[in-house]
Amino acid sequence: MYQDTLQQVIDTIASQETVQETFNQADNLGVSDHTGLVIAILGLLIFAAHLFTEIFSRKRIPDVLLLMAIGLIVGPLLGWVKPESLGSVANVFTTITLVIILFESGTKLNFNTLLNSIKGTMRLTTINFFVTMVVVAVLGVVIEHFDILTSLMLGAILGGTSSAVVIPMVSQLKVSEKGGTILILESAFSDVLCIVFAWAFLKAAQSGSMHIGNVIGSILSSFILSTIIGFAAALLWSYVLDKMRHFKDSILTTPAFVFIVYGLNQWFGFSGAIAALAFGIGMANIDYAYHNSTILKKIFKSQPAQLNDIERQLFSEVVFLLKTFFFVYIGVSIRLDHFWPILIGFIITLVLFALRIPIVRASVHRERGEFPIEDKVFMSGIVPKGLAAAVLATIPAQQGLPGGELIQNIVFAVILFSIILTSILVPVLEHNNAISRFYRRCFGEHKEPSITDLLDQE
Amino acid sequence: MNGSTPIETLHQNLPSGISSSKIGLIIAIIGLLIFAAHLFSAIFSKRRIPDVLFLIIIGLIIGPLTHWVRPESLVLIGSILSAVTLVLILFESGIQLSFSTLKDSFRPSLRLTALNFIISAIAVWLIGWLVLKIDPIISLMLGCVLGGTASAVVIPTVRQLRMSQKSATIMILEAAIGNVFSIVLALALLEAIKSQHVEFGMIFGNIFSSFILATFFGLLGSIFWAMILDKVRNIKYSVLTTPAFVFIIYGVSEWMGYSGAIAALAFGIGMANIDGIYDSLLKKVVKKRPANLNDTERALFSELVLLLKTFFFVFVGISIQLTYWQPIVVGLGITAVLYILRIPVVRFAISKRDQIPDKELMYMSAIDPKGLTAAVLATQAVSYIPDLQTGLFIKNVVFSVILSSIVINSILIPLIAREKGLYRFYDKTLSFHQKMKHAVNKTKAEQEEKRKKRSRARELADEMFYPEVLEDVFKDQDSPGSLNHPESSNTDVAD
Repeated sequence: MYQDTLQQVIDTIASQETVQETFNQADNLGVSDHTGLVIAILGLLIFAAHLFTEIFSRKRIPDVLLLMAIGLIVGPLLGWVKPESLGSVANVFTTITLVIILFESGTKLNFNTLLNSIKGTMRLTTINFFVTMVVVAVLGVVIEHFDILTSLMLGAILGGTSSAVVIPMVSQLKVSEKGGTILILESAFSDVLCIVFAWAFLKAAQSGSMHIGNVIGSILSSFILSTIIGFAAALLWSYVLDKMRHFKDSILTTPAFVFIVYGLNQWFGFSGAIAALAFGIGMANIDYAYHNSTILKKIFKSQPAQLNDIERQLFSEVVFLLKTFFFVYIGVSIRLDHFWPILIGFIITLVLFALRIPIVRASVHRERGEFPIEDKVFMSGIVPKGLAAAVLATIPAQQGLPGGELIQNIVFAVILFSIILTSILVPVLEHNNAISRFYRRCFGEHKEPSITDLLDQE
Repeated sequence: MNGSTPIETLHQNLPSGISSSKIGLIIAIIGLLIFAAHLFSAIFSKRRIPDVLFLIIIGLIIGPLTHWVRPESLVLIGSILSAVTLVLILFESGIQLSFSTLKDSFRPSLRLTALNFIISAIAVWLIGWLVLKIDPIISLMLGCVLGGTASAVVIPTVRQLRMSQKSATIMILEAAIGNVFSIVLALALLEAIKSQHVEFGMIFGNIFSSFILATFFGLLGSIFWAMILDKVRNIKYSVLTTPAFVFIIYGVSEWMGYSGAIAALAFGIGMANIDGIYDSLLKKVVKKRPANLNDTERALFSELVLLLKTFFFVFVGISIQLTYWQPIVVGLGITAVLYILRIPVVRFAISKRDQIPDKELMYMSAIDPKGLTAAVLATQAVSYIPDLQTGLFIKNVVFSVILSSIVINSILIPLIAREKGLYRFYDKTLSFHQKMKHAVNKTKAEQEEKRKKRSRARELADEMFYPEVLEDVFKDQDSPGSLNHPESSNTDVAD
């Protein structure tokens, strides 16, 4: 009798388990067989990341490039890891990387530098964005015969720079604090412009009309409100922090709080990225703010808590870890199927890098006196596209826009080439060679390198 | 990345399995989850309701109940998360074990592991074979899969119960060693199912090499790492290289066919006791004293364990299948049997000499969760068992046992902690044997007393029947009208 019941049970299960599930089983199996190996590779990757950092500081070959190369090898070239198998987790992971990198870079910025660089940032961000957008749009119309709105959308998608690439690069470069801050802020601010404009053009392409008022409104609200929320959250957190520290293993509650701030901002429709950056800046400068503000002193009797050394150390460790896996993932998710979009992407990338020189010239020329020429050179070499562009690129195809697939492939190619070109240019620009001399000459250094320069180089 | 209102559509259209959920919201939920984990562990230390239970329930809610997250979208990442969690939990528990406690608890732990494993495996085997009519070898394999306990559940539970060092070590070791038994025996049986014959020699060889070589490999790794740790610390952001090294140790020993889990544990133990190892073994060979883990590193590892543990248990909740009720009921039944059997197992495995407090004995008998190893083995079994239907049934039963054993574990602990009905039940059952002993002793003592009385009486009688006395008596008897008449007095004395 038992046997009959069991047989029945088994039959029901078997009849309901679909083929798909059996496939999943098989997948699962393959994974659990290799889990040990995967774990060992993850461990090795962390060591490799340290090795690459060391290589970067000695030979100036960016670690980013090497990590992406690993991703390219295990992904598209060998087919061991498929981006689809990472599924939705990859989206969550890239966002977490973005949030933590922005927050952590915020904790290293101080108010004075910030105030000093905000003007330059604004100029650089807007000029770079609009010039890029218009030029890419023209390219789109000329090469691909896209209609004008679609081309503008493509331009808007490619108008920003990627925080996840810029921030780690800047921290390893010999740029002044001001130059570094401008680059970091540009990468955070430009994302907002990218997303808002790309959406506006997409909607316009679909409906045939465009509301400039709405576009400006959402940009302003994104900037201002998310900055305010970020600062307010930092103030709140610095008063809670002392209490949180009583709990065991509570260091990670700070990033957890950043996640909540980010998520709430996104949910309200503001910029979570800017809020995360503002939160970091707020946490770093809370002491300064408290001592220079009579209002804060009146409201709060006690001094706010600051991040301590262990906490900062932990965050940098986590950033290092996330960065490592992020770039390997970028490498894994690059598609190399079609030649044509890759070529167009390559052309666009070259144009963007060429345009960047006059853009930087135009945006920082007023600060000539106080601005070292090396900073300008680096600024013109750092134009990587990243996460925001990748996310935006997938939308037109899903919305059924004609040419959507092509746009997606072009953008992915631009992301790849712009990161590679950035990583190649950065070490090249540090040395005295034809390219760096060319860049220097573009920024008004006319004289040949002096004998002392040459000796320095020796 | 940001968005105005369109951000919703943006994320709905992401090429993802999260369907309509928004990334921003997910990130916020992840943040909240970390706060919740702290809240739950505060609840655990106050009310004794394990945080594991809450986390699994959260997973159940967002997974099988509401279908917000589908386990299929987490297949790859889930298995990596589980392994990473296991490795880090074992390593981190290893760095808190000292050699002296280890030596103290090794024997009782081995007794407990072996007894629990054998009894559980036999019970499940019999249930499967006789009640469910599953093929005896497959059924025995099921028994072996369910014979161990789960480190990932046991270690956090034991930590938060603040059990004595010795009991905690016994439980931690039981989980680690039991896993090896499970893996080796279940895999050997799966091979046997496939190839139709069993090789006992190979099984013992495997168990032996798994244990000894993995331990050796882990310890060797820790010595090597302690030697270079000082240099590694010069690198920026190097704290995480220690876990990275553990990953390599784990992966390589798995790859060589040993137990990665045992190697990770041994590595942790080695790092914690590196001074002792150096003083006893290495002093003559190496001049430089190896480095110890410092406080920052330890703090960081324990942060990471909390983080991973939180997501791991939510993941366990998500991946539980509630589609078919039959395997769930069977699993629940098996779990109940295992928990009942656990009481005598603990009672007989831990002797008085181990000096474990009664309350901790009770906790020990209430902690029998199944976990990662069982889940992995059950998934693998599907492809080995020729009949796919039986294979899937077994897998679902094992998943049900995992869930119900963790849930029962989480329910029993606070109930025992309150020292009410269940406490008394465990107290009685655990001391049942002692009471029997006591009763037997009592009757024995009584009988002894009786025997003593009798022999004294006999001595008295002997004295009375002493020949001279008898002669006198007989003399008296002869004379008429004497006091000692034979019919009355003689029989009295004899009795």
